[in-house]
Amino acid sequence: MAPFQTFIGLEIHIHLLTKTKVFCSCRSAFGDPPNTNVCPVCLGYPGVLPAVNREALKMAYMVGTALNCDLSMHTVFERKNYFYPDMPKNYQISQFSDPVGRGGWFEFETGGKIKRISFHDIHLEEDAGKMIHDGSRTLLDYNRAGTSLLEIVTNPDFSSGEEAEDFLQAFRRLVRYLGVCDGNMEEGSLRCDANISINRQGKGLGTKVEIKNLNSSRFVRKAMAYEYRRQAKTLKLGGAIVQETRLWNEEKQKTQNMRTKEAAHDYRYFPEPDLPPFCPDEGFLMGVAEAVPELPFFRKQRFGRQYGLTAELADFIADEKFRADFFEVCVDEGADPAETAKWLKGEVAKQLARREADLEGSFLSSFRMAELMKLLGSGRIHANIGRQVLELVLDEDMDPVRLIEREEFAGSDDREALGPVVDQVLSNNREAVLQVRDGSQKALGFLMGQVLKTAGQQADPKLVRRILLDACHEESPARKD
Amino acid sequence: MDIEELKTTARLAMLELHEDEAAELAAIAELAAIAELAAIAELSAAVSGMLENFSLMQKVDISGLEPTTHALSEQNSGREDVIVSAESSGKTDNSGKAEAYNLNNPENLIERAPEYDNNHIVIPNVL
Amino acid sequence: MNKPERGIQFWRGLTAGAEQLQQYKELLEVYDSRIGSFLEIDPVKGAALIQDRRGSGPLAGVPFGVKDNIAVKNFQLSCGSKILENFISPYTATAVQKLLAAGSIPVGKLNLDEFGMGSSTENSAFHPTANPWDHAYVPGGSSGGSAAAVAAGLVPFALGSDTGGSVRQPAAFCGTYGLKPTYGAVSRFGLTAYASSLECVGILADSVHTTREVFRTIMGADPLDQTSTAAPEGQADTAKSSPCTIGVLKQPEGLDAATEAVYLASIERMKDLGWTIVPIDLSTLEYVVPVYYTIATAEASANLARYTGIRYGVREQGTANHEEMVRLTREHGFGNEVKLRILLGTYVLRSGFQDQYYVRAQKIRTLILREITELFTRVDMMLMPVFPVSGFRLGSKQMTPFQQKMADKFTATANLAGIPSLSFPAGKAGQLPVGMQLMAPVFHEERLFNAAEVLSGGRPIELAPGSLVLPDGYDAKAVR
Repeated sequence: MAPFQTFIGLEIHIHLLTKTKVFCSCRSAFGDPPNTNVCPVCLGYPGVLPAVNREALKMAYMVGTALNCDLSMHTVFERKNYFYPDMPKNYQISQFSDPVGRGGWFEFETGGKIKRISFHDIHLEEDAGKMIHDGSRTLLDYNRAGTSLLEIVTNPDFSSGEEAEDFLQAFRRLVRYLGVCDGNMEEGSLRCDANISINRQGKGLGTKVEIKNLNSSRFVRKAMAYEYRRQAKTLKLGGAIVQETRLWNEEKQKTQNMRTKEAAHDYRYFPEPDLPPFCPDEGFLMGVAEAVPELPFFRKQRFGRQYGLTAELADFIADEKFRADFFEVCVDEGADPAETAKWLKGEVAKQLARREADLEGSFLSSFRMAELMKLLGSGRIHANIGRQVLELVLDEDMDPVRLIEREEFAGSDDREALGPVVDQVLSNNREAVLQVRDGSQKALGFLMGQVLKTAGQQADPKLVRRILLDACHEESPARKD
Repeated sequence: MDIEELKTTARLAMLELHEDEAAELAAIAELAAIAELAAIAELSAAVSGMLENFSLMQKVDISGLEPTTHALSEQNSGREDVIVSAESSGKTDNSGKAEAYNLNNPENLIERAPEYDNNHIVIPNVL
Repeated sequence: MNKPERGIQFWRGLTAGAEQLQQYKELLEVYDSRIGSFLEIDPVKGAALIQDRRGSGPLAGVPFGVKDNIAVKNFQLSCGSKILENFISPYTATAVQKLLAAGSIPVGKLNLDEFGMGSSTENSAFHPTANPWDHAYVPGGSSGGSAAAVAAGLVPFALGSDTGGSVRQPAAFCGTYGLKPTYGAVSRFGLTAYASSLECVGILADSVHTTREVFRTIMGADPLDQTSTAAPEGQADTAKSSPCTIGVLKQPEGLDAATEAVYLASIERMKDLGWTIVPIDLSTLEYVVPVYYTIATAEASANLARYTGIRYGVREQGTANHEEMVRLTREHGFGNEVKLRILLGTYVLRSGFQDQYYVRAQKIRTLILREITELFTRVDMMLMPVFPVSGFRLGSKQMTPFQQKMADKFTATANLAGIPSLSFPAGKAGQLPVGMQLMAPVFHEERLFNAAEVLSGGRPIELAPGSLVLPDGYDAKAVR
């Protein structure tokens, strides 16, 4: 047993995928030219007022539902007061006393087990602008100012960096599932700060150290591991942990002090007088409930149960909501679940990767996929042809059946169509037929070669082999009788 | 209000209150001189006078009272998530309805900054 | 006594065309040079904002002034502060937008106490405004410019803002009507925020009729102000006409002799009209000032945090770093009264003090609201003095800033309770007008108008001596 117990909590900020900012009607977008998505409201002009975006509230309540929070029936915005140039009003509209959600829990897989962690609260707020430091000047871009941000604060329930990393990945999958965030950590749509304290076993929480600049879930794991080592060493030497904020330096693979204690911040929270409290009515809550889909954790388990998918396949299919929905449409259309899953994880993923495309934007609709799988399942085409058809669908935006007709794939594959060729070959090579009957693989190979030579490339060798075997043995019982 | 509190408050409010002025103020406050004070001392006296008035509120029994944070007990129903851009706004709506405000004209707005460069607003370095 | 006929034709004549607008501008400049009610005069620019001046509505072609803390596109929006001295508004306030749509023409921006903080308009960073009735006296504040311009006959109405009495008190000092509407009845979008949960865009006007027309034009819910609301259906129709039941203070304390005399005379006048007078106690009245100033300054401390010289306005030059830039911009940009209120508001919100001040004030606000609500189950309206004294001289020696704040208790009650209140000319103290106010339950503005109509006998206000008259040879054919 390790001498120290670790307590890690996360503060996660996600950019909600609303079309407009949270308190004004400016476009909410990443990567536009500086100060093009701004208006008097998000620039903090005199006389303007915030107007809360209902869609942002809906998304916040969706996350609250998915995280099993106690949802507020009277949620209040508050002003958090501090001066900083990236914040136009010099207060941030956030939430404090009555956030959208409190409490709540979430289960995820880590280290082969299921772990449950709990939340402090989730609250809706506005983001700040961006500052670019340029020599003696700082350049300000307010495109991001006022975009909707949902902050999710966990309790210090993680006991290792690995757990935090696994949670973050599961959480990322969840918000993408909900369609409320694209989960892009590099672009900052999903940001994470961590706090960590360690203490001798059974002694409870230690002194909290905050770690910032964690731009990927990997960094979270590494930073937590580093902090554990650093703090454990200090404690072993009889030192005390200093309450501070540290930054993860990926280059140096270590955390570094940013500031010690809070520089006497006093945020002076008070209810935002410009925004009356939001009290969700039945219609709103029903809309929220309807918009929350089956969550990935449960869907994966169901895929295993219902369709007999292996854990690996179920994990892959359930990972993205679009993919999982796509899969289930295919199955509803009559495609074989296991085969469809295999194809999606294998050939489809490979072809998409080659094209640097994703399933959602491709010409492969779930109906086309189902059609393809049914063609394969019925034996009308074989895997080689299936791969070729898939490529053509992706490139030419056509249905598999039409492609097969156009390319004359199906005719040669058909057992019936192969019939006359097989008959011809068999009657021309009676010797070989007898040898096949005696079990000669060489003779069978010879006959197959003859059939394929006549029938052409499109013929499925497996099918030809089976037809030949059937044909050779069909003749034998008659003779024996 | 004592000088330390005044200094802390001024710092939070980003109002200038020089160290030496504060010291001077402390001296004046001790003498309790009211007349002919420097502007800053006058401010301090005014703050103290108002706080004394505020202390009247201590007389009220507030047990069981909920705070009133908004004048009307209105609820917020929120706004539609629809982009209003420079193109879609700027039209004058003769009915006086609120959709038509020409709020989005970014270049125009950035030009109101005391210093700007290439559509960035410029300030002395923050670091 | 100068009593020109000031009907709609008179005002339409002044704005009839380009030439008349230019003449009007010159007239305004001449007349205003005596009282200093305007900070910017430009009827030509104002007329360019409207599309249809020839509308048939009661406000079409009628000019108006706008307090300089309310946004009008292309006009300045200084808020009476050096920190916004150079600021030109890129947008228009909803209330103004609605007036533009009705064909009404903004002719300029009116003087005020900096950010609406004051009772004399002496806290304007630019110049004081004289009371048109006696230039040695203040016009009241903070909408002093608006009241003075209306009293001097320069405009038939002006928009002001009322956070704790800032429309009604100058209206009373200058002898005009002054309406503080129900909180949220008029959109605050475009009104520079001082104390968001208390303030309203208000109206100063030369008659009850005009006040009512303007109110009906600017009221209504606005998606850009989520605290704004439409009046409940049918509320206007249930407006009681005479006779009605009026609550009056049993013992109006601290009034000067003239004000008390006018208050008592108003009660007598109501009795004569057959109205029922019900003496009332307002036990919460003594807490109105501390509660009001605690909440107002707390909100102001945040509302005024945006003025840093970064994105607009005046910036302190030559500073070493951004923090010094912000501090010095605010140090030099704000006047003393504003700084005082920011400091107070910051203090009452600080952790460790918030419960004692800010939260306590909000709870007592609940108590005030309850008492007012209960009161209106017994009376239709309440008659209150507007200000305990009938006026004071420019220079502020007569009334210190502290005394001025303490004098807000009669007006600030309505702001704390969110109820509408109309200040009306009720008498004189020597040369100076004295106003009284009627308060009604929320969304009962029409009740106030009806009562005031009866009290005034339908007559417009008496204009101050030396008010605007058309010069000889004024292009009469335009004045159809």
